[in-house]
Amino acid sequence: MIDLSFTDVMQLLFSGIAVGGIYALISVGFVTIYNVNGVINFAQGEFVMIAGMVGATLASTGMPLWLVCLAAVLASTLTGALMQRFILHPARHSTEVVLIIITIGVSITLRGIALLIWGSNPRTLPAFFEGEPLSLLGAAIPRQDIVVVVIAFVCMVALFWFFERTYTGTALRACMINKQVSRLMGISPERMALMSLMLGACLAGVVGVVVTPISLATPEMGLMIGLKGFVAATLGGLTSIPGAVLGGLLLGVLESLGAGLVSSGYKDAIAFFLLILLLVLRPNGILGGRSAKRV
Amino acid sequence: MEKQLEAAVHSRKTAIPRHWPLLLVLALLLLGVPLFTGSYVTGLFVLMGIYVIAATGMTLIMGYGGIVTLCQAAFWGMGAYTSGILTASYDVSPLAALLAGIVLTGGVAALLGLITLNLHGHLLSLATLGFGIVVNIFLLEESELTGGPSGLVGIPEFNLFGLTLASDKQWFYLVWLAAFLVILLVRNLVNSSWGRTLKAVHASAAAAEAMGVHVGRYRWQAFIISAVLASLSGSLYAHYMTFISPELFSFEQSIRYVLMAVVGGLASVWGGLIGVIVVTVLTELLREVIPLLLSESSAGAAETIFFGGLLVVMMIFMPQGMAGGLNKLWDRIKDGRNA
Repeated sequence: MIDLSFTDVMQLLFSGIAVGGIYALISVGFVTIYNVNGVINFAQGEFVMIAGMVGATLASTGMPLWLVCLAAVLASTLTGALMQRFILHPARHSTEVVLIIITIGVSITLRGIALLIWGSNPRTLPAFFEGEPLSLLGAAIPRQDIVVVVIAFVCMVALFWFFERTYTGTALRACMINKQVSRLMGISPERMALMSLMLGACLAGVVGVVVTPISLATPEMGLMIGLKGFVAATLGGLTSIPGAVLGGLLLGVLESLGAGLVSSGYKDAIAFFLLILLLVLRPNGILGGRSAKRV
Repeated sequence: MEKQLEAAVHSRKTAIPRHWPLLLVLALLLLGVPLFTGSYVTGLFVLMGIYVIAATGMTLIMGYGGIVTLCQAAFWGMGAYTSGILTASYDVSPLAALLAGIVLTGGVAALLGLITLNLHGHLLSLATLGFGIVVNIFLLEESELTGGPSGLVGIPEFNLFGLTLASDKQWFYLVWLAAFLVILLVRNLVNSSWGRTLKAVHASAAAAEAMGVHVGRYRWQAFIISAVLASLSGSLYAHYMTFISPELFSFEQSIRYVLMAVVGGLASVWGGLIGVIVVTVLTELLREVIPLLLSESSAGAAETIFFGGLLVVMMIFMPQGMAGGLNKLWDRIKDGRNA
């Protein structure tokens, strides 16, 4: 154990919240896609990577930053739509096992394509706001971390509004709960499946744009970040959006504290150890609730 | 329904495989490989034989157990590192180290299975994925024990009852003998009452349970066998290469096993063998062809795209894999002859 002061703990906590915001966004995408398509989308991390790489490439041409971000998010949303139309849609009658393998295949292919186009050198985006880190309760918080938290928060509010207040959002939610009944109510599950992939990819794209200034973009970045989003979604029980958000934040904070208090080398192991522990003890997520078992 | 009945009839075969003439020809061809080819090809075949053992385990758990495990490379690594560490640092004999690896891996798989196998479908895959990554990080971080990122060097050559395996030719015969014994063992297991029960569990866990089958136990046993085979394969690899490093046991490598099992076919015990051959041959071909079409530096990327795409295409158009296709072809030839 390393001896830490209050300030150090605060520092870890704040950076954990920023990372947690990122995980929360990915994990909401996961949950939406999972519940409408019935597939764990292993390519989620690659959507993040595509936005990061496209953003970094466009930024180097001198395009204004807001346009770069928009284009990058659009690029990953488009990738999601294409994946649904041309791969998941034709395979929609396959078993769960087959679908998992298909999304793994897509993720490998996307990574390969990115390597072919961009090579393996890391690329970066400029930070959204230049300047010294801000200081809060003795901890120094990089400005980009604040951007991440604010954007994650705005996204959450927007998602809440989308799912609760719009017709499309409600239809999507209905489809997540029961596809057959939704169809009887005049909602097209096919359209909703496409929509869910686009939403998930769009959220992943936002993540890609905001994390690239912090952690740089490489074709390999998707794997770990996608898997973490996945762990976060499982923490939240895989079926609830508030659960996914909570799971993301919790994972970010635990990981950051664990890295600081236990060992930084084992930082990534913490998430997956937590995953196994949780699956064994509470397979329905931290919020528990009804069993999501399908027969 | 008809298909299931047909499958049930097929599975009640005698000890002799139904493609035996084809297999005999292939076996004879295989025996000649080290005599007529250079050391590069023989070496390649040794590696293929080693992979076949682990891939057959993958076929058993995926095809018959119906579980996508994403930690086969971790079990492989546990075998390889147990062998490597015990023989290189503690001077244990290779055979004893190999057995120790099997016991350790089997024990860990038994424990992991005990706590996770009642999870269903993808949650189970997730748990195995998590386990695989934790093992990989452990191998990287515990560098005093494992050599860390730079790997473990100086693993002695394999010796069996005083006979040291030094040449690729000797390795070739040992490894392929082991591979065929493993396939035969798995085949007989699958065709036994145990195997038929396992298939019933895969077809419908609820129905099997209603018939009084302890669903969890069968999956658990299949999981342990598959892990033990991975460990055996890993130990052989460690002694053959005399050097191992953690990236051989990463998540990506686990996916490669999924690819091999899927390409070969999940519905046949020969799937692992076919998968390994197809994937290895394609890899070698790609390494020859891609530099001609693209620049040298993009070869790795193109290979990644190809295998990722192959996984998707196989799953959409040919979920039964090559073995399924070959089976159909064989039946057609045989029916044509009888008619």
